[in-house]
Amino acid sequence: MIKFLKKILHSEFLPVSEVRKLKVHVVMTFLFIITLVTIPFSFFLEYTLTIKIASIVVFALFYLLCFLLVKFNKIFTAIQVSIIYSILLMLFYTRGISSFYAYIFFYITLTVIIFYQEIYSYFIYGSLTLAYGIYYTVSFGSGLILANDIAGSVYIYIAGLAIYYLVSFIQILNNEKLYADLNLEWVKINNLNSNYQDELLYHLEDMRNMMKKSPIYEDLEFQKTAFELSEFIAEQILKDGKQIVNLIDLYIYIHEKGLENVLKNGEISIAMKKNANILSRYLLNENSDMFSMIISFYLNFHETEKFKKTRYDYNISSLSDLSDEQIIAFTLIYLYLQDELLEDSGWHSMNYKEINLEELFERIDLTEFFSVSIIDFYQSNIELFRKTNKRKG
Amino acid sequence: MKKNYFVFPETEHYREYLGFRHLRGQNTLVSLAIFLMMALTIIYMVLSDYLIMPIIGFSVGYLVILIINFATVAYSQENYYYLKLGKYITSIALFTMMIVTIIYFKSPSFIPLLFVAYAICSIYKDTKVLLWITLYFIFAIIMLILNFGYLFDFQNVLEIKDLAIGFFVVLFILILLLSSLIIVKEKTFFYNNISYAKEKEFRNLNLLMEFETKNEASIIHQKDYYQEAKNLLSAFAEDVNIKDTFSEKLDLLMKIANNVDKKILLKEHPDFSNDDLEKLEELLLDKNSKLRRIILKLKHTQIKKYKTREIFSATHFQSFNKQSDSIEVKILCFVVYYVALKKGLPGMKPLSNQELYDGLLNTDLHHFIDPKIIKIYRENFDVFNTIADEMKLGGEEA
Repeated sequence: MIKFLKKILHSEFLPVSEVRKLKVHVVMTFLFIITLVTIPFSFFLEYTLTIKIASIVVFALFYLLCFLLVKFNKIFTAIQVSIIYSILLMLFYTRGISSFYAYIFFYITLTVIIFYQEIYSYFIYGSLTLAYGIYYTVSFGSGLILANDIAGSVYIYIAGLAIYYLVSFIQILNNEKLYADLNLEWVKINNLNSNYQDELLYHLEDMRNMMKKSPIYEDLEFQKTAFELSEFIAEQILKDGKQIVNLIDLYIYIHEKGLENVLKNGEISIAMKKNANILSRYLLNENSDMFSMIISFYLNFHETEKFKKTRYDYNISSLSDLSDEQIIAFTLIYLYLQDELLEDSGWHSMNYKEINLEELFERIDLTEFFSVSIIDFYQSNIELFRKTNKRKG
Repeated sequence: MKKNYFVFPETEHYREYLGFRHLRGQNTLVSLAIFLMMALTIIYMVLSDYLIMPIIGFSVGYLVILIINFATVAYSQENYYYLKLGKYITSIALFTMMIVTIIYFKSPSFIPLLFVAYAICSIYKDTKVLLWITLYFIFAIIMLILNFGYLFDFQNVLEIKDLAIGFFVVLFILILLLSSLIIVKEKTFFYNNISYAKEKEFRNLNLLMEFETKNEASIIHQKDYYQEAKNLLSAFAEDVNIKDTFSEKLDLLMKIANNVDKKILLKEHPDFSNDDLEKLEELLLDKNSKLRRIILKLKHTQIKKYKTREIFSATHFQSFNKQSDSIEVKILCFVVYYVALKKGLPGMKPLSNQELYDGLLNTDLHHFIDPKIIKIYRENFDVFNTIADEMKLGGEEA
């Protein structure tokens, strides 16, 4: 239980797919509690004993189905089943008694559906729940009002439910847009970071060659230490550490031969090839997750400037607010980049000889780097800049 | 090392900025919802022939909430924290308004408005707001049961009324709290990762500049660029017939780049102050200048095009604790990571045992490693050190 709560509290460190799974677990826990409580509560509901028993059996089957779907990682189906399960519970309570407590089930069901933050699911199941809620309140509202209640209290119940539905719907739409925007921003910066790391990897390889050192994965001491530590950990978690030794052998073999050659090798079993594919994300000689995380760790111990508000501002207007100085900055950038295109330095990830600076400028959103007036200046004087092009002919 | 929550401490600032950036939109939605509640309350009271004074009273109540809300938005131009304050005041005030409504009308039909108020406040996606309103919600329900018990005297009386109220309301609050909390965490996931990626970009660029400077072949020839820019811009000034303000600044840049003493520069260029020179320094094509960083970013922006339709891809999430990986793969990843950091890559300083320990356990990095593995590392720190210390270190040449 504590582990489960800890997982919820730290769910910001889980990827979306795992959070979705966690949500199903949370809903299942609640449905389990409600189902358990339903057994004693059903004595107060206006059903025959057969229907009560049949309903409890159906709930138990739904719970089992949900459990199996989660176990086999069919999360989307599990979400749908858990929603239907909560709707069935709502129907069971609301058809069994006309009461304020049954009315709360409309909110519980809507909350379960909102929780998954799926627009279509909310639109379909949420609207059905709302429609049934309105019907229920109009038809069986007598159990919801006091003997001397205010005028139109039934309509206030309806309005409350409708506003709850509407506010939640707006929230889902807002979240959908927010997450899509944030995701795009994240993907954009990640791709840029991946480009920088391509370059960093190139420099590191360059340095290693200059230092006449062998790659880290070929270093026998590195291998020995990795073997010893893996065995040490594996012995405490697994029954034996043999499998981990084979996996490290495979890991080093992929570095030496390359993933493609490993996959093509007929002597290697399918299971090993499957592992090779997984391990390819963590190679040391490629711009992999492993390399990226090593760089991140290292960067943490790298001295950096004190934080300023303009730290992540890459527009030249952050350098100077004077237009002539911005023009100077633009010109220096232009001339420098033009030279970079002629040289081998940098641009390791692209066929730089095929592209000129004008084409490159057309490909990107210049407003991220220059003010509109500077872009206008460039476009109006493009001929002047062309004259500086050293790759004529 | 000081215990930090974030891998890069600077990410905290950008996280906060992201929060404020979206808070305005969320605040607008909350204001619209409150306005809708006000309109519906007034319409109901008018249609039900209530006296004018209570109608004015409720209108003023809602208007006060809205005015406080608008005022904090206006003041947030001066200081972002007013927006933060605004959401706390709005949430508590809205809940109070709902309780007043229930007590005034003496009808249970208004109790669900507490659920509506909770939904409205959860638009803010703020953990503190959620905890406060949950406590307020519980307080409100207990207060209503104890002091206004007649609100629950329904015509259809259930034998286990108190138990049913207690159970279902507690259950509803719990599911509402947990679901809202996880939704807040989903937002935090993106805030964390974006701010982390932003800071990593900044530091990656610094490291790239450092590496490029080490590599003599890629050292830029500063003088040529200033002279070339001077030629180009004086031709431009002549073409469009404007005063050439560029040449003197570029001459100055050339001199600054050649480390000419500032006192001499100020003497030779009396129109420029010390501040002007400092500002001009920003334009240097120096090895660590901001201009150089902009060039590097610009250069890499155009290399790869990102896919705009890439959605919540797990491939973007870097972790050694992926659900799809077996425990053996997780062990291997951790060990390779640990040993590589300990040994150090070429050009990189090998890290000490304490630096590794602090980085792995005192930052949020430990969330990306299997808890069982990190526990073994924590409990066997000395064993890890002994095994790893036998290895000859690599990295930067001494």
